[in-house]
Amino acid sequence: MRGDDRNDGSSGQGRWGPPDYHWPKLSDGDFELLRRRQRDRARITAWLLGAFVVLLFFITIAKTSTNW
Amino acid sequence: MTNTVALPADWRDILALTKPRVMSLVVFTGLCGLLAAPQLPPLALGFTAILCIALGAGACGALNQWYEVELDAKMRRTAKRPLPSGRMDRQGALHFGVGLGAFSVVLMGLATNWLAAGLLAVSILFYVVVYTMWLKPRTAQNIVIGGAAGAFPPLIGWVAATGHFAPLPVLLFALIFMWTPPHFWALSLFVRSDYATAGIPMLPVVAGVQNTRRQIFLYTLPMAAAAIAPWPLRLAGPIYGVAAGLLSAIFVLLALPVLANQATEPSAMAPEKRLFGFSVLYLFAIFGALVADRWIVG
Repeated sequence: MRGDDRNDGSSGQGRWGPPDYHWPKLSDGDFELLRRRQRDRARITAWLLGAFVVLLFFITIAKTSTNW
Repeated sequence: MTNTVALPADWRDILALTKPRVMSLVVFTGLCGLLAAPQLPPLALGFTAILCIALGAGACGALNQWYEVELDAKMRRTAKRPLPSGRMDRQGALHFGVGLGAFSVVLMGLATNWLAAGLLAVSILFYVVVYTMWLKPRTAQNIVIGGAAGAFPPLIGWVAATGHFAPLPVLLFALIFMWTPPHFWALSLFVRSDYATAGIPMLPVVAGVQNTRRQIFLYTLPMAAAAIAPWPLRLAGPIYGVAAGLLSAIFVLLALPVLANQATEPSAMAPEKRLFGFSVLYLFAIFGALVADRWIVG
């Protein structure tokens, strides 16, 4: 890792490095909460996308078979 | 640079953004509009139409909360919502609402017809732009005109099934339009201090509680007429006619003690609370009777 790519709370100092951004330090509790919410949202998004594909399938079947 | 951690919103907060309880009434009236139509679409398309009405209502809820975050923070009833309590960021709510609204309209158009999709788009825009942004902060007649937004679902359900307008769904539109003022004004009587704190010009805040009580009673009369009208016009059968007559009579009878009440303290507003509770039941029951009539009598 280059010195200016660090993500440990220190600033990027290199000429081509990221802007001088101070990433907030996460406590263990916050980090666990963040990961849990990301996992929950990913799981729900996957289910919704799956349900949408199934719905599109049935819409297509209904429209082609009934000429609605 | 900020040092706060922007956690992704919990899915329960995203769900709360859609106002699920309001959505249930919208979905029910939309479903009844669809089931009362003379021809029914295939199950998948009917389900999609109702899903789109639900998603459109969810988009309205999200955009309403996005716009009113400062107002919600001032009112006890709404201060714990995801945005005013800081559990969700405002920009995310805007993106979610716009995305959900656009998705619901396009899906409605593709699955059923573009007239229903257009009506859905108009209802979303009416609720967000005309009611939330324009009327609500400006006039005491906000929910009278804004009530049209909530009156669209049965019309959308009917048009999704048939592809055209008809007198019955237009009367159902009129019924919800006339029902909205007594329903909301009954609520706003006993939470008027919240509205006053937030600076929203609801009728009890601007015109006083007695004037509001008179207006509630006056609106129940055309509401009852709109509810009963489908029977003598032969647009609905006797099951609906009897149910609409009885339920509307109870509504008017419950509005009488509200008219007679002189109380100004919420703790002494039992008639108003009773009318508000019954008004929700009234709409569910009257639309339920319409579907029962359609399916039993034909």
